[in-house]
Amino acid sequence: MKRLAPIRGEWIDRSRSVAFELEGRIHTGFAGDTITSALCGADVRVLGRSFKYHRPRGVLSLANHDVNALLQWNDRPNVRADATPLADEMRLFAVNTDGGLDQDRRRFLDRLSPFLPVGFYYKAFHDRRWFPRWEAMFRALTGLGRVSVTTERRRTPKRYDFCDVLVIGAGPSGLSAALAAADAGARVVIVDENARAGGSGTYALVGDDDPVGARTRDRVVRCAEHPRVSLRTGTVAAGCYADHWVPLVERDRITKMRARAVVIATGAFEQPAVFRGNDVPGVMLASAAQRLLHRYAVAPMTRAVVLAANRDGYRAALDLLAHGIDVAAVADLNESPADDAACRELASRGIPVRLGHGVYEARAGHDVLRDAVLAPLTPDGALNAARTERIGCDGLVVSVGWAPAANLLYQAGARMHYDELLAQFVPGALPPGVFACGRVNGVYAFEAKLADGERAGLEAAGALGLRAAGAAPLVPAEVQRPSHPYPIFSHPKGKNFVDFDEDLQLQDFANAVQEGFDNIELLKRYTTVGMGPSQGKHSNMNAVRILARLTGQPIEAVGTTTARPFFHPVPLAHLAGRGFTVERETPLHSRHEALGAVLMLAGHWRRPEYYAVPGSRRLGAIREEVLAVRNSVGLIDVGTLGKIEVSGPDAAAFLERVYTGRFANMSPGSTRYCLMVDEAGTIIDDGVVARLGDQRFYFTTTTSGSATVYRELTRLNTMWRMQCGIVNVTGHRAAVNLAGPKARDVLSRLTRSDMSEAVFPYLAARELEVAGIPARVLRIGFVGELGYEIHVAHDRASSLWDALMEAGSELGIRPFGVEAQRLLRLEKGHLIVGQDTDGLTNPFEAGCGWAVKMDKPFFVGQRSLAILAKKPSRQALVGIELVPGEAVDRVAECHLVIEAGEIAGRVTSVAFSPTLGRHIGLAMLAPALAEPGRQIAIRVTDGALVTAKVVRAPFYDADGRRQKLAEAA
Amino acid sequence: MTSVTRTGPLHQAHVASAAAWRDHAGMRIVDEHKREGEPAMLALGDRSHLARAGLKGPGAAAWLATQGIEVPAGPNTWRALPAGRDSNGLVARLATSEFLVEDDGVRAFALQTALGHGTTDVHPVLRQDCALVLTGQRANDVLLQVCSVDFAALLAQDSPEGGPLALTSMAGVSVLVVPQRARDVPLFRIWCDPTFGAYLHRTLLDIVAEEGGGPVGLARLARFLHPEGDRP
Repeated sequence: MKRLAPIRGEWIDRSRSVAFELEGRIHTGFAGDTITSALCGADVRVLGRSFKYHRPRGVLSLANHDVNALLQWNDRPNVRADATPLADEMRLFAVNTDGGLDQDRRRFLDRLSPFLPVGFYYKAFHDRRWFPRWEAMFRALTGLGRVSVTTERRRTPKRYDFCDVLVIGAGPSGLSAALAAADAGARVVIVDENARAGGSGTYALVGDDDPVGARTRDRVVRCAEHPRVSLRTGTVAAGCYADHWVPLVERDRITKMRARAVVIATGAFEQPAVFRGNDVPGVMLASAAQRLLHRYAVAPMTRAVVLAANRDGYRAALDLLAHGIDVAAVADLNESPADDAACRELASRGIPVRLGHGVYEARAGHDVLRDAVLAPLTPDGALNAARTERIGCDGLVVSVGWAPAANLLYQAGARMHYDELLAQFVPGALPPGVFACGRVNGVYAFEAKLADGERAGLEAAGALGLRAAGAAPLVPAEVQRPSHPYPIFSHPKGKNFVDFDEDLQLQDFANAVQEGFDNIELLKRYTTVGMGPSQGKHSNMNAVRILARLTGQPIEAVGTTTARPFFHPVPLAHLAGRGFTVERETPLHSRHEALGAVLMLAGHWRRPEYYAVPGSRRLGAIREEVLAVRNSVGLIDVGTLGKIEVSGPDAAAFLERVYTGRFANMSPGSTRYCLMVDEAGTIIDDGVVARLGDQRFYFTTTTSGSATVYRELTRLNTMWRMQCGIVNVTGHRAAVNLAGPKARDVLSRLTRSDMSEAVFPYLAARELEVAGIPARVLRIGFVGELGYEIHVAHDRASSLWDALMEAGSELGIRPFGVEAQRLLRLEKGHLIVGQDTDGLTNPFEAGCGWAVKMDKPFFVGQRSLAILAKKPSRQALVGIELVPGEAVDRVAECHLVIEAGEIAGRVTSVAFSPTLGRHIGLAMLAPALAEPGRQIAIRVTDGALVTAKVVRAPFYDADGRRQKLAEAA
Repeated sequence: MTSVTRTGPLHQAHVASAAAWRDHAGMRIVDEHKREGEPAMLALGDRSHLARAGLKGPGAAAWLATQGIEVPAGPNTWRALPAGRDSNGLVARLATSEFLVEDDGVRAFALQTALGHGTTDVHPVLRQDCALVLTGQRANDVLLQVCSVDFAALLAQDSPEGGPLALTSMAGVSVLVVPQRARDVPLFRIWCDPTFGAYLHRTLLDIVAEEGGGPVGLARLARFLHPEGDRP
């Protein structure tokens, strides 16, 4: 291998040398090289070691499928050398070696291959005791690159994009399709995974002056200059989803493209022939050799043998000659030449053409190709080992057929069928808005590809209602078979590889079928064919042909495996994208931060868990906040509560139907607890309803329930067609709870309204001004003290907070957080929906039967509750006290209650009450355990049992004097 | 009594970047940022201070008509208020029977007052939105990274009298987007729940900065939108 003199259309920039390192050796390539082409230009022929047997491997396809040439580039594992652009100062190492490419200590495995047939580990290493050891050993012996867990995150934003027609593949047919659609008026995006557009028109040439090259370049230029065409190279269409969503993967990002129509012009993968030694470095596909020649100006060998079964093989032979490479012989699997003219040309230049011959064996010397051994085919298609001919060569160029790159077509829902004439699967019925052209459509001749592309482009535009001036061209039928139906040859010594990813040999398939894995999907899973990094791009078609031969079925009947996204591996970083983490803040967020709040996540909300106090730890600060509320006054931001308005003539009736309680009899200016259940009678939310007027209600929901409740109420109102409007003002209104024996004192300083018990009693609701701010004030007692929940517009919240804090400063007002509130309500025995209840809890079990008015005509869940009311309870929510002296600090929420060795309940809330000086909690228990005074055992995390006693809740101010009769208190 | 001021949803987000503030109807708003984006190229501004009136209900369209507001013909469209686009005024039809009116103050406040607690079939909707404006030739590149709507297609249907709007999700947040053109430059007006405002603003501003833009204060935005100086 060596670098040639400049070639027309080459992709490299010879003015810029690029130095890089492979396993300690310095090499030099050019800008525009891939790693593989640069190594080939430096005459490096062994690029990697195989997955299982650690055999040396070189160039195979140079088309992004050479998965035996995977490299570690710093922290990037599994870099594909054949497709990755060369970069300055790359330091590269082959993956999957022990000691490097040349001295891989695991290459001995190749000699053990007769003992390691496919599936050997299923049969040999299934002992349960030893399996972990075997697993570890095999994971060490095989594998790919190293994942770095300390890599700095790369920015890989995802984006959306839109177009009329997306053309996938910028080869001759794709370019023609894009131009035709754009000329018809469509906005076209055309993508290609290669660094440059042109596809096979940039390498499937005979010499530099081939007119195919010039005509392809002309179309590339026209696409690049067309005002309605966006040509994007280095872009992989990784999948095809419903509604024509196609993820386009670029180096640093994914674009989710939504196209109105998709033209799939993805071409075909050249397929290897299966013969002994077909993996020896130096054996390569003809398209790989031509890519090296025309794109990177690298001579892939000095003396070649060509194995052909189609016109492409002959053209490749002529191409090698045109670039000064000695062609020792051409072996044609066919009895008559695939290309008469080319055959004559070769003969005239003294190149022997062996018709009806194949390669019996490729032999290596010092890890690279040394000889090709040809043999004539027998009438049954085997090779005659008795009449071999050995030819010295350092390159064996194989062109025996193609497999359509139809993965995206399958994903789009196309039906494919096997065309015997072409020996290829081709699209049959295509889904609406999806079109195919070029080789994936079974069209191979250059002129025919251009015509087919134009047809597809016009049809795509036509599907969008765009009409071109001219008629769609006729696409000439293919006159030659591009693929041999069975280029697969057995050898008594094996090493005739079908799948290069997984080191699967021909005999492995025979063994699998013999063992009953004779269906293509079963065969795939047993042999792992097509499950390696190339996902079967150069093995699946041969596997199908082998299975058909072994089972005596037609290929159509064998079918293909399922082609799932992604078409190529996609880095997880790309899938992660920018990473949007939605956060929600109340308007008081800056106030909390200024006060030293330690924030916690509650759904999307960031809420103060507690306010840090110098000299106090977390628990100390929380307990101080609790005592401030009990003894003086505290202020908490409850803006996260759901806040919904219902108004209109049917507003009261509507609430009666969606909540369990009764609201029609509420007088304006009052509030009432509300409980919501679902159709099964399970508690799903609770809150407080305030009646602001005859037809106006304002109510709160739980923090997590606001969106769900609003959506459900809207759904129900749409169904019931009641005369009321529902407005969700959760984010547009702020709310604080001013609570404590001195709450009234604070509030009175900020309003002219009469706050006396007589005028503003417990459970009243008033619309008044607080600090000059229009506010809705609800007198409720969630934390068990005199309390006012004050609701104002979002933009007034900061002013309200500042005013309250200032007014309360003399009275020792203190902000308190979520943890203190949870403790305060626990002392009162108030439940939290979702914490003290679960997805099966009904109101009777939760002790909320008082909030269910079964005598109403109807409410959601009423029928279920009527049934449940007649049944014995399965569980009951009760208060518990932990017996002092034991490991009470280790009891936590969700710890199980154990009775007679069985689970008999769980702790739903537990904490130390600074007010009471003991540990209290709520537990959902089996009814037999729920009697006050009963002792229960709670199993903590380390398995120890802690004793608790069932008690009556509330634990504090049981008759509610402090919240109801605050003046007297 | 404590003197009352209003606080916009992005007030705290602007503190570090703001160079000059001014008051508008009791709210401090950023007139100028220390480093600003170029509105013709890419800039993100905050217009949460504008006045809004929201209403819904089967009688909402008819009620607006009685107030002299010509409503958009169908859902998901908007219409400029009679004073023209220079007043920033628009009426957006968010659903068959839900509307948002926004302007510099006069009409929206008047509507709020007139509607009061509503009628039997018209219900007031408190709108304290975080209102952003994303302008510039590269604005759509930013939106393509956060939203799956083809705003370029919507923008093509824009006219000075009105056009389509989108109720969609942007970076995980429900938003209302009105695509417009100002001096032939794409301009997207974006509204979201104020409690999501800081997050959405931060997210958009990150992308705007990556794309070479920046925040813009109301002074520069006004100069861009009204180069003749006929509006403040």
